[in-house]
Formats: sequence, structure tokens, C-alpha cells
Amino acid sequence: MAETHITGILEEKPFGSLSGDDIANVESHTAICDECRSAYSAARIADNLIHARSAETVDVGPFFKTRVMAAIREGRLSPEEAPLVRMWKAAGALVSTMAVLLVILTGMTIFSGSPDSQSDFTIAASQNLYSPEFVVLDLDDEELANDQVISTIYDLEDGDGQ
Amino acid sequence: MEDAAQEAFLKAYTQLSKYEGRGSLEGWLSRITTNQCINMLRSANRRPESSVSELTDHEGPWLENQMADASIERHQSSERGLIASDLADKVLSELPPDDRLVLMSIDGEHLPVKDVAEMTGWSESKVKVRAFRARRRMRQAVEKLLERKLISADQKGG
Repeated sequence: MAETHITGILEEKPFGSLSGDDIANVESHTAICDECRSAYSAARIADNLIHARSAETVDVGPFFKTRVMAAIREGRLSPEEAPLVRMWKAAGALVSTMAVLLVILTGMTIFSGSPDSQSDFTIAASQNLYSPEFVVLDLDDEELANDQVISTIYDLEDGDGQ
Repeated sequence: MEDAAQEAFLKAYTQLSKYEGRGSLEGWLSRITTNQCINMLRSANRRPESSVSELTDHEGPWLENQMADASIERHQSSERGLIASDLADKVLSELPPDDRLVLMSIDGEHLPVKDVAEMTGWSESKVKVRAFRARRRMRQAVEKLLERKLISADQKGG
């Protein structure tokens, strides 16, 4: 028995739970095996370390309860915020759609803008919209003095007479 | 540790509706806390802050005393207890979180295997195998520490 390595005994159960027979076996073997002697020594120190660690008590801070309650309150509020978050996301989608539409409309305006303005100009020219009559009639009465209106009309008549 | 306790309370509060009353409330709370601690240990393991190779001025002599005197008492003065506890933290940080949990629960707190199985949700066989491996890893970590200590003592002496 003394020839059998004892590391298995050390790993099978907690160091403090080793029975008298276990310890007798371990000690008889460690007397002839350096490797197991150092393993036994390390297991004993490991056990001391574990017990030193578990013996240490940790007191919670004075504000622990306040911290936990605050965290719980925050946690409780978050589900109520969910509809707001959903609304915000829906609004975001709506704004994105509107932005895309705006871009499309702007593009259409730019590409179709020049021919339209040209056709408007052509129509205006064909109907003689820029003749003095149209200019006078197009303006508000208040913008022209009476003598300006009269002189314009007379000029027209003179022009027609010629 | 306070952070773990706070998160455990918070989870217990938010998941209270999931508690079906099958097991004890204490067991349910222990399981939440255990999972929380394992998760925190796992994330802490990804960014190790201290190493066993960095022994303080007090930890070196503590180890020397332990090596020199096999009959040294487990519970010493509070100051030496704190030194040992700090050193234990360093050695334990080299172990996987699951091993630490099992080792501290069974060897440190003397919890029965059955309770640890309930806490972790593992089978009792798995807890036993974990404990077996954890003891080996802990012992090997201490052996390495002792070897390093002896080497550094030799270098200082020579």
C-alpha cells in the first residue's frame, strides 16, 4: 500500500475529511515518495487557503439597500418605457420614409424643371403676356400712378395707329 | 461582491413571476446568485488583474511558515488570516469559475454535494467530478507557487 501514490486520496474528498486510515496511508507513502510529499504539503496549504478565504466575511456597505432598491425601481420603469421606445422607432421609420419621398420629389423636380419652365416661357411669349397691356393689367392699381396708366394706354393706341 | 448581490436581488425581483414554487425559495435564490457569481467570475477571468507570481511582502513569509511547519494551525491571527485570504484569491483566480465555486462550496463551506447540485443545476456526479478536478488544480497551483517561491529564495540567497 505504501508504494501506491496518494494523490487520488487527496483529490477524492476535502482535505479535512480524510479519515485516520487515509492519513496513515498518506504518511507511510510520503515517507518514501518525494513527489507525493510535495503534493501532500501543497494540498494542506491549499486547504488552509480555502478555509482562510471562506472564513473572511464581507459586510455590505451602508447604502446597499438603497442601491438595490434604486436598481429595482429602474428595472421596474423600463417595461413602461417600452411603448415610448416603440413609438420612437415607428416615428423614425416614418421620418425615414418621408426623407426618401422628399429626395425622390426633389430629383423629379430637378430633372423635369427645365423643360417645364421653357414651355411656360413659350406659352407666355405666344400669348404676348409680356406686352405692355398685360404688364399694366397684371399690376395692382396702387402700384401705378394714373398718368403712368394713361401714358401706357396712349402709347399703345399710337402704336396701333401706326 | 456587493455588485453580485445587487444583481442577484434585481434578477430575483424581475424574474419572480417565473418562480413556480416547485423547490424552496431559498434554493431558487441560491441558484440565481450562483449563476450571477459564475457569470461575473467568467467575465473577470477574461481580464485578470493580479497574478500568483506577484506575491506581496506578507504573502511570501506566510507561505514559508506553511512550508516549514506542517502542524501550523489553520485559523491564525486575523492579520495572518487576511494575508492567507488574499493569497487564496490569487491562487483561486487561476482556476476556472466552476472549479472555484465547487471548491469553495464543498471544501470551504462544507456544503453537501446534493446542495451544490441543486444550486448549480448540475447532476451530483458532475459536482463530484468537478470537485475532484478542482482539488487537483488547486493543489497544482499551490505546488507551482511553492516552486516559484523556492526558486526566488534560491536566487536571493545565491
